[in-house]
Amino acid sequence: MVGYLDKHHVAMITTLASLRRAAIICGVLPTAWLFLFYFLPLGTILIRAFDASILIDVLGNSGVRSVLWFTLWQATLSTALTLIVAFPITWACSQWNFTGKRFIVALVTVPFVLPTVIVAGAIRAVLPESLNSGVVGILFAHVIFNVAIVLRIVGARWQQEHPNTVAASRTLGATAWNTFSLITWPMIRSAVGNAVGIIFVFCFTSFGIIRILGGPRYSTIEVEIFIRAVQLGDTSVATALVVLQLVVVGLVLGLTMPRSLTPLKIVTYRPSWISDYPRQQKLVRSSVFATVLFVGTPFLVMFINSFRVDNNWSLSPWRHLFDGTLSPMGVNISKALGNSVLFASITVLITVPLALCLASISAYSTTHTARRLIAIVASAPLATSAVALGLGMIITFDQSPIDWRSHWFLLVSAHCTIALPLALRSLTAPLQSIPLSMRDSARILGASPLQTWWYVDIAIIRRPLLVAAGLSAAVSLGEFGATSFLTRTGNETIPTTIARLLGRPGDVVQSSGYALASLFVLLVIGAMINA
Amino acid sequence: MLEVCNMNVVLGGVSIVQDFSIQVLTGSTTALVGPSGSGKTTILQAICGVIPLASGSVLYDGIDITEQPIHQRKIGMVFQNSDLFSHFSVARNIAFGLRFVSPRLSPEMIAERVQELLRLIGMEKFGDRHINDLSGGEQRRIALARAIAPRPHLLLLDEPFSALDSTLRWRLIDDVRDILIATRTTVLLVTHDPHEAEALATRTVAIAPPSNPLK
Repeated sequence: MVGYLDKHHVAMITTLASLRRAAIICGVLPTAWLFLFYFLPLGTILIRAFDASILIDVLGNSGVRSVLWFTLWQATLSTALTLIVAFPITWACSQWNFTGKRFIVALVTVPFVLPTVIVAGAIRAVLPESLNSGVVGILFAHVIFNVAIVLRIVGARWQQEHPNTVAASRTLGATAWNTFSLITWPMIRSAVGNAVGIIFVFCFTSFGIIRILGGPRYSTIEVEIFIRAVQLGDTSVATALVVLQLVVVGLVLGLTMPRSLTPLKIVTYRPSWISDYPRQQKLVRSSVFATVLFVGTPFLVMFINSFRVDNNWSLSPWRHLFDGTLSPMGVNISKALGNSVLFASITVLITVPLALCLASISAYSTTHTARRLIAIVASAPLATSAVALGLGMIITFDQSPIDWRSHWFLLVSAHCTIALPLALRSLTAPLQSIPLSMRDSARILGASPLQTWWYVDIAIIRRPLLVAAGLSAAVSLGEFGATSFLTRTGNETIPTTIARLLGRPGDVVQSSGYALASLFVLLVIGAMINA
Repeated sequence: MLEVCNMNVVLGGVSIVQDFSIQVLTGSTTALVGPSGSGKTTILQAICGVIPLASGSVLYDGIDITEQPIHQRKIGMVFQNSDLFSHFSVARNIAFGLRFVSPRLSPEMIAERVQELLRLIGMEKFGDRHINDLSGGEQRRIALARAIAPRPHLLLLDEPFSALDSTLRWRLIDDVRDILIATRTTVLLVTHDPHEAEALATRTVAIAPPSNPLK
């Protein structure tokens, strides 16, 4: 027995030590990547172009102040509306089982993985012309885009509430509302805070939606950065705005980030079938119906509009996508499709191994500080505006021997950097949840450290790896902010092409934009159903 | 008196309880004994209104409470596990139901009742303790004190001692019996252990095993 314990103890120590050693070696790659494609570009912006006096001037400029004010209030209102719209469906999906639930979850998730320009295009298709460019459309699009965040983050936490706790509260005389406010809310509060932070940041740094739905009147800081840097060539003001945006985003994320990064107990309770509970059926049905109507209608109308030219039914918008009619406008659909697929594939091939390396360091590290540091550093790109990243890359990599401004690789590297935090989040918790004893057993049974890693760790996280790959591909396919900066003739992607079509006058061109967006939506839905 | 008449419960298309009837006399402790999977817990949950009846009725003192909302039934329940509110202290757990059942109670009166119950279960000094710092036996006592705090008409106990070791279980059974006698609470207890039923109950009802246990 003593001999066994000694051997077991030694195996435990060696397994952990060898895994940690390997992880640290692997950590060089993502660290180098983040330094080269995130910290260096942002640092370069700050060093080369930032001037505190310009920031003060910018803050004194009434035009910029109104942009800042609009950015703040539309982000706040969008976040509040998202919570209001998302809460009923989050309750229904996390607390009840019903036929078609998977479809509803997929439907709500689709806008989140779609390029923001497509969501904006769908909203433009459904709204009357008088509301086509303005606050209503912007808020509508932000809500549709972000409902999935509440459903995923808050729903996951809500599912961990033990049904007995709620039942106990009710039998003690608490009404449904008392039970929610005293028992459920304290449990889901931090998840709601986390979702609020992420949604606020997405709306605050909104770019594609504002570009299409904001018209000339409405602009966010993100759009202003783009206009100043690209259209006016004023990088000093653009940089001051980047700093301003970083400060606000950092503050919001700092306030709403969960205090503890310890992974939650992965315990969820199987919800009851709603068909057994006639009283709640009406509420669940109404939530589902309202959500399908709210999220689904814009995409349906967009699809219908792709067959409408001058108030008549026509297939020409779809035909024009591939018959070369749009070429004189610099639009080549097959080239854009090919580029999008190629860039997404390369993004997956680079991002997933980088995320796996970082997740492994986090999982095998024994100190809480190290885990927290990795989480914060690797999540930084999520909190940074894609437009700022694109601007930083252009400024940084503009001189020989690394003059990559017109190279497609710079575009892909931006996609990888933006996708890295999401891929990392998919892998960290599953890796951390693997008990060390499982690896020890493999080692005691004769597996080498590499074999242990392959047959235990990788085998267990195979599904999260697919999720990470899917998310990376989705980010690359939909990325618009940094791409707007970095794309050059011949490197156009689907989102930039859709934005170009929707931005052109002419009924048939607009309808072709809707057709391309619909095609993309169908591809994404197909991929999600297959997954 | 509690009367359950021809209770049928169907969940997820599967019939869990079929044509079940029982009477529980006021002031008595009735034990429902049966093997795992015989629907004992479902019967308790249906009586207190947590899950709906497919057909049948639940009456208390002749009044049909089948359609009454859970919080108005005045039926307390101690669940098999995980029913304590871990974000509250022991005292706040016990006080939880008092504010709803007797909204006119002042904070001092609530504190007094909590202290009285803590004394009854022999845990006077535990009021400020956190739920997660308690042992399994202590948690069961708190769950019992919390359930009887609002003085329910009927108390349902769902395998209240199942997760405890043998010594602790028998000590707690003795304590619970004394507490139930002292508070003159009407109890319907569910257990798979006939000895446990014998030690606590004035009447034992056996429930048949499921007709198709593999289903």
